[in-house]
Amino acid sequence: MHMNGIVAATMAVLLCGTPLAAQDTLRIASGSKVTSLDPIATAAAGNIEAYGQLYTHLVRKDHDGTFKPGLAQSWDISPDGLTYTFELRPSKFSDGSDITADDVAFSLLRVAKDKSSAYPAGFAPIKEVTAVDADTVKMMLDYPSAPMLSNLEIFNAGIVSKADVEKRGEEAFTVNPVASGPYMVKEWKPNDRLTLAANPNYWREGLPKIKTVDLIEVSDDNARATMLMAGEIDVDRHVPWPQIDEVNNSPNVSVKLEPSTVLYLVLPNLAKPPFDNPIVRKAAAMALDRAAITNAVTLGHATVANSTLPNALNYYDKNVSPPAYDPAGARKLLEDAGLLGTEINMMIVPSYAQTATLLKAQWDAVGFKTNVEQVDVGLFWSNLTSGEFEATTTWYYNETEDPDLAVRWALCGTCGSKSFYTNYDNPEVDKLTEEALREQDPTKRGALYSKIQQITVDDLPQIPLYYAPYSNGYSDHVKGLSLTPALQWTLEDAELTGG
Amino acid sequence: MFVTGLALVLVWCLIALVAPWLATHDPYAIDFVATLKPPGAAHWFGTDNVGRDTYSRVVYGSRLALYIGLLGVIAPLVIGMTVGLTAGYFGGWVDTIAMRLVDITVPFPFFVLVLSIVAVLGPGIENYFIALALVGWVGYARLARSEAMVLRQAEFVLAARTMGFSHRYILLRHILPNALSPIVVYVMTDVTLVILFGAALGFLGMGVSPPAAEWGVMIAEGQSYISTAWWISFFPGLAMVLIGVGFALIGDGLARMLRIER
Repeated sequence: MHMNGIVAATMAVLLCGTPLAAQDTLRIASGSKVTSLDPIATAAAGNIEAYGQLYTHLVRKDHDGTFKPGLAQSWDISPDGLTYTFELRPSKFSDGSDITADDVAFSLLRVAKDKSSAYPAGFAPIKEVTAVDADTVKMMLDYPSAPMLSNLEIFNAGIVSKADVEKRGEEAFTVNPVASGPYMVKEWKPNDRLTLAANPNYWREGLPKIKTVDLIEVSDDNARATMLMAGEIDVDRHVPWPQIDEVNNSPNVSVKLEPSTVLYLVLPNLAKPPFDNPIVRKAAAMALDRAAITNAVTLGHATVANSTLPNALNYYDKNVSPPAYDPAGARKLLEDAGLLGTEINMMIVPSYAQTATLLKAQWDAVGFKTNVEQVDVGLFWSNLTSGEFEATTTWYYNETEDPDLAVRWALCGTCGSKSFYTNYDNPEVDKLTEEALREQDPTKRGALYSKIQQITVDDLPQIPLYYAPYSNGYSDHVKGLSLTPALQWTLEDAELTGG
Repeated sequence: MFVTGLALVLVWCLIALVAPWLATHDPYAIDFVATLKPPGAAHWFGTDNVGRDTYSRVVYGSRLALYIGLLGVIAPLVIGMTVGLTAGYFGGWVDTIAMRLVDITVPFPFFVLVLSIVAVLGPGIENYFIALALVGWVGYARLARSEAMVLRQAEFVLAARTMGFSHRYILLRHILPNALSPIVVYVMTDVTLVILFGAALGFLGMGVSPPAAEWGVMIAEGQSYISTAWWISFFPGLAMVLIGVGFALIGDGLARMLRIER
C-alpha cells in the first residue's frame, strides 16, 4: 500500500507536470529582459511587453481593427485633422489617486518632446497637449497625421502619474512605479524576473482575472522550450522553428503562430561598393530563391515576402514583387556589366548563420564572391548605424498596423534612420512618405503606399525575405492569451483554468 | 596506449590529407530538397539544416581541427620556451621579471582570458592564435624554467661555460635539447586543449565563420535540432572526442616512456 501511494503520487506529478495546488501565477518566459519600466526610456523588446501591462492607453484597438474606448471614453477629431479632444472616464492609478487630464497631457508630451524619449517618431506632429478641465484633453498638431489615433497605441504612449514622476524623477520608474494599466509591479529583480500583481484600481472592472504574472528572462531558446514542455513555465515567447513540432507533440502544450508585422530582410549598404550599383542589387535579388530560403529557415512556418513592407500592415500591396528568382539572368547581368567575381562582405550576428550560408551559396552560384563575417550584437549595431558594413541580414517589426512608421524606419532617407541604415534616399519616396501621412482619405492613402512599395521593390534598398509570425508556446490551461502584432500580451483578457 | 593514440592521430592526419577523396559530397553544397535527412545510404551521417552532407563536413573539418591544433601551439611554445629557458638559465632579475609576468597571467582561468581577448579583437582564427600566444606561453615558460634551473647546474653545462662557449650556444645546444622531453609531453595535452577551445569558440560564434566545415560551428548549427536531428551535432562531437583522445593518449604514453612525472 505504501509503495502504491508513492507510485500514485509520482504518477500524478508526472501526469500534471505542474504543482497540484491550483495555480494563480502565470509564468511567461522570454529571451529579452526587462531593463526599464519607464515607457519612454527604451524601445527594446522585453520592456515593450512590460510597458503595456503597467500603463494604460487612451484608445485600444479591437481584434477587428476598430478603435474602442480606452481611458478616453470618447473623442472628437476636428475636420482639418489638427485638433483631437478626448473625454476621459473617471479612473484611478494604482496608488488610489485620480487619473486626470493633466496626467494624460504630461504623459503624451513626455513621449513627444522629452529629450530622453527613445521613440518619438509617431508623435512628431504634436504641437501641444493641454488639459481643458479635469477630464478633457486637447491635443493639437502642427500638421494632420492619419495614423495619430493608432499611434496612441504604441507601447510608449501609456499614461503615467504626473505628480509621482515630478516628485520622484527617475526613481518613479525603479521603485514601485505608479501604474495605470491592468497590472502593477509586485517585485522587480533585474536580469531575472518582473513580478506583476493585478492593479485593483484598473478602470476595466473585474479585470484582470489572473492575479499574478511573472515575466521571466530565459535567454536560451532551447532552455525555454524545455521548460515549457516540463511545465516550469506557462508561456514561451518565441519557440524556435525547429522545435515547433516537438512542442506540439508534447502533452498539454502547443505553439500558436500569431500574426506579426515582422519582416526578415537583406540590407545592402547603398553608400558603399558593391551595392551602390543598382545592377549588383538586382543581380543579388535575382540570385535568391527566396521561397526555398524561407522554407529551409522557418520549415514552412513563414510566408515569402513580396513587398518591402510587412504583410500585416494596412495598405500592404500583395501585387508588387522584387525581381523573380532567375540565377541565369543574374549571372548574365553581372557578366554584361563586367562584374563577375564581385566580392560581397556580409556581416551577421551568429544566430543568422543558417540564413547567411544560404545567401552565400546562392550568391556565389551566380558569380559573386561572398565572405561572411560574424560579429557580436553590440558590434553589429554599431557597424550598422555607422554604415560600416556592405551587407547584412536582420529583421524589423512595426509597432502599429499603420505603415507610416514602417516606411519612416525602413524606406525613407530623410526620416532619421537612413532607410534602416542602408543609406537609400529616393526624394520621391521621401515626398510620398510625408504626403501619405497627411492624407486623410484611405483610398488615396492606399494608392500612395502602393506607389512607395512599387518604387522600392524596383530600387531594392532592401531584399525582403519572409514574413514571420510570432511563434509562442502556450500551456493548455492558459486561455484567452495572445500576443498582438504590437508585441503586447492580452493579459487582462486571459485566465488560467484547471491547474 | 601510446600506439592507440598514435594510430588515432595518424588516421586523422590521413583523413585530413585525402579529404577530397574520402568525402562523398561537396561539404559546402547546399541542397534545399535534402534538409535534415537522417543518416542513410545517400548521406552516411545525415544532412544538416541546409542540406549539407554531415559526413563530408566532418571529414573536411579534420583539416581545420588539425590546422588549429598544430598551428595554435607554435607561438605559445616558442615564446614560452624562450622566456622559460632564459629565465631559468640566467636567474636573477631576468628570472624575477619573467616569473612576475607568469604570476600575473596564471590566476585568470585560461579559457576566460582567451575568450575576453577574442571578444576584444573580434571573432576569427587569427585572433584566437593571438590570444593563445598571449596566454598560452605561461605553461611552457614554467616548465622550461624549471628544467633550465636544474640543467644550468649540470656538469656538462658548467664544463661548457668554463670552456668559454657563449650563453646562446649553451642554451641552444645543451639546455634546450635536454629540456625538451617534458615539453613535448605538454605539447600533446596542449594540442587537445587548443582544438577543444577552438571548437568552443566556433560554437559560441567567435571562432571560424560559417559556412566553414568546423566541428564547433557544426555543433552550434545542430544545437536547436538536437532533439529532432541529433546527427548534425553528434558526429562532429564524436570526431572531436576521437582526435582529443588520440593526442591525450600520445601524451600519456610519452610521459610513461620518458618517466616524466606530471
